[in-house]
Amino acid sequence: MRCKKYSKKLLNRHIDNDLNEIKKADIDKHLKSCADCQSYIAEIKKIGVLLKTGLKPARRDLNNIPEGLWEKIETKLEITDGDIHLRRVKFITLRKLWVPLAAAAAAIILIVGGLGRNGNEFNADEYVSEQLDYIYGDKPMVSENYLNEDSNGTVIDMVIKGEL
Amino acid sequence: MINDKIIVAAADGDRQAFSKIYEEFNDMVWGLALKFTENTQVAEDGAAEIFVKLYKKIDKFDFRSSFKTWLYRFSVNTLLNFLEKEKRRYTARISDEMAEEGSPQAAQKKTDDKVLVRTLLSRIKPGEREIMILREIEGRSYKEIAEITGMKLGTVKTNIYRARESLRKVYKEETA
Ligand SMILES: [Zn+2]
Repeated sequence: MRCKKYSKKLLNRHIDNDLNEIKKADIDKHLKSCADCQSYIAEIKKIGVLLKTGLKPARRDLNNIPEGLWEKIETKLEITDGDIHLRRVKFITLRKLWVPLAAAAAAIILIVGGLGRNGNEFNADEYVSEQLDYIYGDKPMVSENYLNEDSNGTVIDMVIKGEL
Repeated sequence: MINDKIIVAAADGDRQAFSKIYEEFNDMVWGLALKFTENTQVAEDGAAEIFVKLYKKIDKFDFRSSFKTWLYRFSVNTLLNFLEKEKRRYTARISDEMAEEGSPQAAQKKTDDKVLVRTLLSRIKPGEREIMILREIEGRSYKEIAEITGMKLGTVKTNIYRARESLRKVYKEETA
């Protein structure tokens, strides 16, 4: 491309309708008299159309989710009790309304310290800082009902009873 | 409908809750897998990979965006990693298919286009491929692409322009 009036990046933004009216009109006016910029835009658009038509999945494929896909997935679902335990701790500590901040932080360090000694690839520091990020965040993480309905986890019980 | 409670239950290892998530989003995931892999067999493996990985990583969802947006991004990234990992097998399958398509009937323009697009996409970087799929095929706006990929808006604009330039270059080579 020989014409240097507008950058290629700007011409691409023009293609995607990402410019204000004034700039857009400016470029449109230029395009009327510049074969060079015109052919650049036409080329980019042509490749765009090619991608769209060439990669569009056939309707029959789209509507045909393979039979047995869920069964295939289900046999591979794996999660360890250890993971679940960690997640419970995480979800509880995220609920800052339920657990006062200081107590929560203390609880995390306590719990994580304990787990960290037994776990294999567990990075306690990383975990704690991740948790603290969430606690300082704005949104409560779980619905109010979750804790009330789940009475299996010992950690959950301890938090509810205020032991942690 | 998927609510926070179902997500938390799935994170707690509840398979029934997880199957509800599958029911709600398998259309979206399947469509994405088809677009990225361009082959129903590879798409099936890709879609399975997304859900298997989702079961393990669902606790990474932080409830800050909608679950759908988060899952869309998670799926795109999982597919890209999956294709990178399966590159050899994937490329072999595609070339088998291309050989089949090399029959006399394959003179049709549609088939030619499909073959050309696969070649073009295989010759640009994975990141460029992702952004082109989102922009040209999915028709996502710059803002949506920024949300899905986590890139800044300015970066999206630059990357789209660069990806198109790469495509233009390989297009010229392939059609010369
Ligand atoms: Zn010009």
